[in-house]
Amino acid sequence: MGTRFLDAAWGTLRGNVTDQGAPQYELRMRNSEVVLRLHPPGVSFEGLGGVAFTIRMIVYAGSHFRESGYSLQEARTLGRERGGVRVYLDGFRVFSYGSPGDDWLDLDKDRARRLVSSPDMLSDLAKGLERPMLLLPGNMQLFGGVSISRESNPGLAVNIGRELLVNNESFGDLKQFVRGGIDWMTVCYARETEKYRHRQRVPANTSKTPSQALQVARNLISRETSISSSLKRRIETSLVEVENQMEQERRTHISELSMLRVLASAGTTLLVFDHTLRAMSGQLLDMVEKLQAMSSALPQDDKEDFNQVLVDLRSWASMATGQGSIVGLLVGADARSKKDTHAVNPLVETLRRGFLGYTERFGISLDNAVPPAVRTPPMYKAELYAVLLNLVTNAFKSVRLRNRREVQIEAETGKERFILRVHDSGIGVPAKSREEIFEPFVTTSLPDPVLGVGTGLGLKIVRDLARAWGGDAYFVDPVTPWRATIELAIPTGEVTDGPIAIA
Amino acid sequence: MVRLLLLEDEDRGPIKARIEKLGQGHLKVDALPPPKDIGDATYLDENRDLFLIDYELDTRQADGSIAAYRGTTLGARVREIKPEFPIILLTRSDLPVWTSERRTVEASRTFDDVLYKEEDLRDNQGSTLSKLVSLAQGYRALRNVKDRTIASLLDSLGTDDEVKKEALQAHPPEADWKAVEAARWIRYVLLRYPGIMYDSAHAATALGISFDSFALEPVQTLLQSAKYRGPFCEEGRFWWRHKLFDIAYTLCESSDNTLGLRQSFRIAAGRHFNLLLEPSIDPESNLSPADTICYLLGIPVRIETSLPYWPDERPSVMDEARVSFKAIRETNQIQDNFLDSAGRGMLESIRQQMHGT
Repeated sequence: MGTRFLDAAWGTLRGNVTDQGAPQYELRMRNSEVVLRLHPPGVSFEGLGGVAFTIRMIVYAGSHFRESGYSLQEARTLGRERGGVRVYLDGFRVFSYGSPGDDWLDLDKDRARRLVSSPDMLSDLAKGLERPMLLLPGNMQLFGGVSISRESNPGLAVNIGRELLVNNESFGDLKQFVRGGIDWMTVCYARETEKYRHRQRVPANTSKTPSQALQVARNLISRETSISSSLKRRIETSLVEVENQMEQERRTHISELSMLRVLASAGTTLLVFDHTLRAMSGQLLDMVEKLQAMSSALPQDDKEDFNQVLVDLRSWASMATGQGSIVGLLVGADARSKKDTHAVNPLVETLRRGFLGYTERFGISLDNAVPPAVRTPPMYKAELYAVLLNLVTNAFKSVRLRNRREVQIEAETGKERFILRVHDSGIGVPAKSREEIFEPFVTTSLPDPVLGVGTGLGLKIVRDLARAWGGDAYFVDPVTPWRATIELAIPTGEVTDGPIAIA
Repeated sequence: MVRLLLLEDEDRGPIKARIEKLGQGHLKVDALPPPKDIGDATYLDENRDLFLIDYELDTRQADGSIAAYRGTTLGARVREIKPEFPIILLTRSDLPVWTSERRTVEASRTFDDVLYKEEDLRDNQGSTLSKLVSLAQGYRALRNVKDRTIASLLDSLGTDDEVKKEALQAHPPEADWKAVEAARWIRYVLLRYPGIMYDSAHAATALGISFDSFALEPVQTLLQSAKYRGPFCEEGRFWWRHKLFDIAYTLCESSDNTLGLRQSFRIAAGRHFNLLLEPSIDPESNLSPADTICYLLGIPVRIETSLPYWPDERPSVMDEARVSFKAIRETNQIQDNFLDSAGRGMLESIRQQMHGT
């Protein structure tokens, strides 16, 4: 393991057990002269005298690896392959511990369970911190070894296969000793993280509000004798305009947040709705089957009309199923669980199938022109679906009252940028309005009988997400035969969430 | 005729009718509500070949009773009493709790299979009927095995000594096995993982020919003695690998032996039938013959255009799973943790190949 890699560690934890069985821990943190020590009172591991460990904790954040020579991706790969806490008996490695897939300290297990309660030993230290154990490092974040000795620790014996320690009381104590140190380090890390966050917030709290800044400007101008009265009045008029504009923006921002909160609250309702919609669709198809069986008893003349009704009913049922599946795309747990690269073509295809009932009803053609191998940079699937849904439904609303009703999605990816374009043959977007319609609650869409009038936040959400990914969304000049083209461009390099993000 | 008991809390009539309809006269369905007392097993007294249990059982019954348990609990009770009979869980595919626990339930020893009310009972009636009949007949065959030794179980499959050695490495149930254990082993190991037996795609690729050529009648006739005819064979078409190779080697005896079997078989069989058989082609490299089948896309693939994949706990005697570069680039189904570290390291470069970067 390269020292430059280990130098990127957030902290180095050392622990040892005295001959009297008392555990002692010491933590040195990156970029800090402070050395933290813990001698937990009333805790004793009698059979572990002389046991010692050194463990480094890695935080997979760009800022930690900037000077290490490792990219974040390389670092993560190393973490997956080489991370873990190993055990050495008289200098020889006991092989199972700290190997990929091994979780002898239950770190990955507890991370997966999202345990939030702090161990009793640390409850005082954890006071004032919000659920610090959520930051418990996984095996891939820890690099280190525990040294034990046959002579000093006779209770720790290897099994016949020499790959495991016998699972007895001494081994339980060993786990508790090492894990205790890691838990303590986690609490310390949470405290440092909190300090960092606080530091981030301080400038905002101490800076002047816009109103205060305006008042300072007014005071300065009123005291200034070199400016004529008429100029002062004009400046004051401009300041009032600025103030009004700011107030207007503040109100808009608050109402945008309110709307997003309302939409977020709708998540659970949507899941129930999705479930009910599918059940209703199933019931509808059952009824169609029953009616189909009854149709033989009808007079021949009525049969044709009757069968047409059945065809319509089937179409409504599949439309309901399709809408349900779109809801599932956004609120399904797997869409929010992992940031990953995604092949765009199959996602667009899922969306296309979901809207089949709608597009067939209104004669809209949705062309999936995305080459099969085009993939996005790492992102949550739900976010990508949110972008696609907003762009596609906007395009649908735009083309629905036109003679030619065509929408096309295309995408490409290169060394530096991933680009997604949605073209439509709708009403078009005048060049002067191209920026304005990204503002919240600004829309050029007409109310749609199925898609509704919209929240007025669709394009704003698309742009916000694109910018969060380090890119942008904007309208470009459409190429014939299209009347509007919106483009989303994001860098293909990985975007980190900040220096304290844990892998 | 397969006698089936449906345990369902609501809509028993329509579901019973739907199952009978898909049965086309091969299924006789009795439908009962869940017992008030889960310990009461009198409803299991009658002779039935198969049990179908709904997952959600909590609708209030006409007498006011409500089952305070789910189908999984009732299934465990039925399994306890009927270890020699197939039990299927019936559910809706969109049930949130069920979707998240599906794999766990599928891996349990209670149920033989899962049927979805919408997809399986309405949309896939043909394959559902095959599955129900296969389960009933397969269990019947297992109940009729003369004793519960491993040797008798292997005999019931129609194996010969060569295959028995391989099959013993595929972790068969221990002696004194129950039908449910044998059924799970046959269905979820022997028939699921390619190695001892092959499905059509693997069989075609192992012989170096395309799926279409493999399906040609003369080829099927040539290979019919290699076909698996043991318990649960109705669920699909499977061939004993070693028997396929025996037939192929015999046919190729007089051919150019400098070529591998996959190339020789295509030429020899084509000559034998006076047919032009298409080779199995790897779409990535456009080379033939392909070596195996992509685990995710089911297409022929060569070793050099695929990566080893470890999606399951298949015994080592079975063929290794591989995923094609095409699947890595064009699908969202790859799970990084199923690749080895070398494979994970190659993911990005494989995905960038199309951009020439």
